[in-house]
Amino acid sequence: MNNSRRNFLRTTGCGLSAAAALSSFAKLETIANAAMQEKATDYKALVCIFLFGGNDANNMVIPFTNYAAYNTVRGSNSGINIPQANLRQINAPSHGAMFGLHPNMPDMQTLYNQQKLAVLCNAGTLVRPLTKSDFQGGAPRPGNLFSHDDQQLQMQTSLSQGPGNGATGWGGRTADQTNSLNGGSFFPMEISLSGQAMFLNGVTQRPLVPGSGNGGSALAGFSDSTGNRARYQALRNLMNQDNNLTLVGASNNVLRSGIDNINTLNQALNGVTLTTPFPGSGLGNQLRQIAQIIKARASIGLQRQIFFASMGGYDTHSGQLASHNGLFTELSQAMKAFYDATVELNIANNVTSFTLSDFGRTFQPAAGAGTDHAWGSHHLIMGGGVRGGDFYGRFPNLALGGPDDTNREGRWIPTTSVDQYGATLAQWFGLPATAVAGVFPNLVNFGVRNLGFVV
Amino acid sequence: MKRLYLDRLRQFTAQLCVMLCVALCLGQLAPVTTLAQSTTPPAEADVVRFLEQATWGPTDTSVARVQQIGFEAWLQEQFNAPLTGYPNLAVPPADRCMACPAGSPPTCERDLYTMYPLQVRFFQNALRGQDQVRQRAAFALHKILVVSSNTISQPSAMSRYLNILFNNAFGNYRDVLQQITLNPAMGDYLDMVNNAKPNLRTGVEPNENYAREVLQLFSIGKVMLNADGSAKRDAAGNAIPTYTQDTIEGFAHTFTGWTYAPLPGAVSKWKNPRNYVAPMILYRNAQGVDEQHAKEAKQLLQYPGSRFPTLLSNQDGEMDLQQAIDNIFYHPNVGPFISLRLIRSLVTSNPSPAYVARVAAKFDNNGANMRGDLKAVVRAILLDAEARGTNPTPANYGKLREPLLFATNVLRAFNATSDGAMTSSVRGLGQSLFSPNSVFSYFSPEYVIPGSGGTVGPEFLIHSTSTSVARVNFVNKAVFGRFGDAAPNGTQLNLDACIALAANPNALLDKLNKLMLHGTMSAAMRTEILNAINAVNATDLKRRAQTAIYLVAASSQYQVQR
Repeated sequence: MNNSRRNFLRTTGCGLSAAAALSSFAKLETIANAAMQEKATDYKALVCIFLFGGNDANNMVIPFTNYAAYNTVRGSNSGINIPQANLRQINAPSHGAMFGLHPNMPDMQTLYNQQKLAVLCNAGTLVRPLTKSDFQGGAPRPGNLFSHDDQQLQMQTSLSQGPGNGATGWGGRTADQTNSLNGGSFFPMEISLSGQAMFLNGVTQRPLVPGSGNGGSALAGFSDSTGNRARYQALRNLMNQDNNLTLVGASNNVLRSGIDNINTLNQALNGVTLTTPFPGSGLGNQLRQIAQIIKARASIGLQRQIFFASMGGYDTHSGQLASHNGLFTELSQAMKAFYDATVELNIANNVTSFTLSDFGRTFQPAAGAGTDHAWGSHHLIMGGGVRGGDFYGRFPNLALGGPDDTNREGRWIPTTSVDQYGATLAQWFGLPATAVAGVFPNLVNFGVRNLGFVV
Repeated sequence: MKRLYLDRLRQFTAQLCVMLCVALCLGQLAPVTTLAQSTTPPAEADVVRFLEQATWGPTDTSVARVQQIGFEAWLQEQFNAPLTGYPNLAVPPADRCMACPAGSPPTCERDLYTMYPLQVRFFQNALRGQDQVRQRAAFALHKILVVSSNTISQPSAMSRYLNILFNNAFGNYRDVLQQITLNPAMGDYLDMVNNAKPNLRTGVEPNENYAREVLQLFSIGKVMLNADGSAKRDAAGNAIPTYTQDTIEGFAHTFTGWTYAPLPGAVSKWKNPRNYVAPMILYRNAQGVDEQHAKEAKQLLQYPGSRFPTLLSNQDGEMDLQQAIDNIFYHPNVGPFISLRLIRSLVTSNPSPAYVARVAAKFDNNGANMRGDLKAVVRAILLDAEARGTNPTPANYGKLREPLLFATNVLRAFNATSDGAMTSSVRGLGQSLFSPNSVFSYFSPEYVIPGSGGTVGPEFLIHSTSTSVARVNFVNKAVFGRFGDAAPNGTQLNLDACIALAANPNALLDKLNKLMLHGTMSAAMRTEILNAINAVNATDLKRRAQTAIYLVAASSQYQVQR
């Protein structure tokens, strides 16, 4: 509390001072009143890396021992074959077999072998556990399977019935329940480096979305003068005039949070540098910004933070091999740099990163050397606290029309739900056991509530 | 209380609807008979609102014109206005070094290989083009039937795609569907081009990309709709899917066998080289057989009165395509689905179901037994009782101006001179012209504002803490500075008319209130801005005018079009 108050006062001394301080003091009072709960003594962060478009993890994690099962469908004539010899071999003790990561992911192989990276097999949206005969018999299943926007929302909300109006994300609901660990700091505990994200919408918590660079552009054009001070005060006051109009109020809320917090973030990040080099890619820049914000955590007074980053381009309907070469290179290099940065900051054990995606893709290839929308997919979980070097969940049977296929094109019925995936991460983060069922309402349908991949 | 209000609104709109219907039906027979001419001239505030909805922003000139001739006559003028559109750019050599050898100016690659020339044309059209309604309708169609330059980076391809939307903005939606389906930029973007029948040797199946998105995003959506755009429910209260995975596969097989048109002088073959100029063709071998088209029967959309619910086996690929487009076009969802999206683009994010139903009815039948007449749809949207009037009452009425619309409204209100190079300035506000992230467009037309209790606000998906501040900084730059170079290049507002009024702050605010807020400035808002004006030295008239314009344009009251 002291920390955030001191920081707050410091950051208001920035040229707008009189007006800014005046308008924000009311807020400080509210914060002081809310600061009743115990502030955590440790730091933890969750970093969601969303792979937009639906990642074909069938070509990211490939059986090595049982390569024949892969090669039967994705052989050299398929247009999307990855030769066995090029795989980055990794051992999966839980499956008693060798697998291979995509050839362009040597950094992920390194982290896996150092037991800092785990693979979660065939996870996705589910209402309850579902066998093939359940599926064919019409048992309850997520709404609008294979549709981008629906499945993105379901992966981010953990509400496979369809999120509906007023939905919140499981990251946001986790934040609602854990923000007390921040001891009443008013700065948003959630930050998206990738625009608005349903994942981070809570009932009370809303993400800050900084611009690129540091915190992003602060309000411009207010060099100190009588006229400017009055104009700034008028701008602030207009932000409080909603006239009971819903959209005007919503716009005011966003702008107010932007003006209040971006300045604070810029101040906190001023002079914060990392020695770890990051690739200059889109994801590299987002993860570098996250690492810098984590480094500045003390000056913004936070002990718990949830971040959202993303990459696009995973909707590989055609030309998949060439696309994947670029995508997996960027993903692997950026994730490794981020891990290295957490080592540099001496908090590797306190930061867990994980991938989500719309869905997996058909194991059977589509015309144009690509793949179509499917369902279950494999995911990567990274961090010093991760019990890495192994696979969690069950790797699917790769036979077309086989026991894991919805029909005959290789759409895997998930054997682990996003609810289980999220609940495992949220419990590590500090979500109280009593709050888990509220944040993940479908979890009650699944036997295993904690997959154990992070401690 | 709320119920009572709604009932009153329904009565009111029902009466107005009768009036409008009479006027419009007469209009079909005798175009000179219009609502506007049969009544007193429209109220000034309603005219400004109308131009916010129908153009890239009201100007003193356009307000005067509509006041003079009325809504209907003005719309007729718009329907007949000369097209601006986009130049059908020549296709440059694939090898950039050939077109732009070492020593070429940096503008060479920019003009031949990037969206720049089209983006400049967009702003020139928006700021100066006479066909404002057509431009708004075409852009609304672009947001529905998306091709993005993040994949299709060739401007010669994008210009032809954009011109289909331009040329058909007042045409028929079936023509839009057909021409877009065969447009090579779309074919490349969603993988219909070179999509082949199932290959038993390689185990490769037809590509499902276009099949899925043409249904989900371009025509009918995922669930069966009532005529008012709401979801139909089964006995258990569940929404009813419009299609299954089998349907998707049926369309995927239908859309096989098509390739680029052969380049001039070349012999056609399966998988012709890229040709973004001519529509795609069904490939035929030397015997005229469409040998890459899947020949088995295909299951398409099943709905009451379904046209071609099944395509017969062994049909020619061209006939399959025509029947498949009819199968989509005659689905009862198309009217409410497209109408709702167009209403949200032009007027309000939360239209009443009755408003959607009135517009969808026009889609289904323009009054002359034609389905899909977009001119009738646009007219119905803009002249509906729920769009017109001086003071809409529902709290959730209106829409957040998307960044492009916000920028053009500011520029047009103050008669900006501009070279059209505005794209990078607007990109910082969260909207990258012609380059939406994916086929899901710049933002979802169904996005619900978090914590709003279910209020739809599509543009809020790209309205974040950083882009909202960027909007205010855009205003700062527009009002206190300029974009790009000094005149005659770059973009500069003309504040002369406001400076001339600035000695009388209330007169200045009256002008801004009329042109920017169609008279809705509250007393409290006026007081705030007056205080800020009066804090500026009274002799500095320019600074006073700038202060007032800045505060109005930066306010959420202005950012939201009501």
